[in-house]
Amino acid sequence: MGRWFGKLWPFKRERNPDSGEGLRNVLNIASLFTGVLYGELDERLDFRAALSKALRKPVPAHVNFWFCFGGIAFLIFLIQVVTGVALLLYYRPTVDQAYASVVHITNVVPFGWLTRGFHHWGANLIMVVVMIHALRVFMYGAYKPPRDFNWVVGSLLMFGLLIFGFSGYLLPWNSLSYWATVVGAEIPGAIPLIGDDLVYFIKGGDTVGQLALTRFFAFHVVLMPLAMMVLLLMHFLMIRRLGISGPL
Amino acid sequence: MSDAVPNGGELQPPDATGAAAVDAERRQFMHRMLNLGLGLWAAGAVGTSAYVAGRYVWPQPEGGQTGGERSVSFPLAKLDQEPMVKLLVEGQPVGVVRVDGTVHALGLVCTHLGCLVGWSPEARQMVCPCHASRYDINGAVVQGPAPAPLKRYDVRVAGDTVVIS
Repeated sequence: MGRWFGKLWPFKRERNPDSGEGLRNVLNIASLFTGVLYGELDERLDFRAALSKALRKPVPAHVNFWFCFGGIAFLIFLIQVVTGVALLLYYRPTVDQAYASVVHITNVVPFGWLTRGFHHWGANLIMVVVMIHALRVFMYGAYKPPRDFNWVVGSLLMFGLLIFGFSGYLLPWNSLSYWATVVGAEIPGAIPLIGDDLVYFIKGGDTVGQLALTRFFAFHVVLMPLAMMVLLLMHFLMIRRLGISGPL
Repeated sequence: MSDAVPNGGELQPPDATGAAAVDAERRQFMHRMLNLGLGLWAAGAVGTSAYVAGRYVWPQPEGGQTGGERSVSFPLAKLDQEPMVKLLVEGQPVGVVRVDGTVHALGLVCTHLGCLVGWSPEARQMVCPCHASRYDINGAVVQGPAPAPLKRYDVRVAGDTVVIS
């Protein structure tokens, strides 16, 4: 114990009152709380080197504010994952109880209104942010080879977000979400040949009922998150491999 | 300003002028302040998030099924139809049986690992289906592994009504 405690003990003998020793002591006290874990783990796993490689990676001089929206979209995606898991703790995906459970989350669960609000507004904001991201990529010509396949993956991601939004919209099971789904589920019917079967598959039957709710729930909380994570991984690996596109 | 330079000897490269030393020290000070600010902000964010998440995740008593009546009654004739009458008293399962004209009420939660015991009319014992603990009609353990007797409830027979509390 004496060895590491001596290393972390913040109060060193005062050498020079003007040399900022006091400030260093304050900082050392803060490091008492992080140092035990971080220092010992860093010794074995080189966190500091890995972090500084990721966080201090130099970017070209032309990279500006507009290049941030992909990252912002990912941040919102992470917020959606966290708040979505939180909502899952109280949501009940049945026709009888879905609406009541959403009302319960909003009015009874502590900070339930906040969690649901984050999920709701995150879902709206991510579409805006992703549109700006796509516009930036388009205007900079960053979709051109060798990054063309990343544009394809990005398009799939955006389509995935639309499915996310559509499936999540039904889950509160209020009049607005119910009729929006009744109308929305008709739209794929316009696709030639497979349209009618596709609508039947989406709704899980001829009408929007319990099967549709169960299906949308499964898509929204299991299938789509998995698909998005795979696509996001590809998106990030490719941009890391190919680098940021050039200036205008 | 240059005569106000504090002795930052350890930060100073051997050939640095006074001005460079001030710059180096100022830069280091700014870095520390930035790190301190970021650290405080992050600590605040983590603390607030942990509080919100903790409050959110912790179950609400309003949403659960705790509570319930302290005293439950039913007609005596019901014991003629069923060997054991099951009730909830304060949310806990209770079994009521009649042996030789006396009415007994026992908590049904086995004291071993929490299974619900059942009434065996032939043996006149409460038997746990999980690990075969046996209790007599007063709730005392007849056969292990139960470590403690079943909870007993007060029984009052008023006319043709039984009151359990």
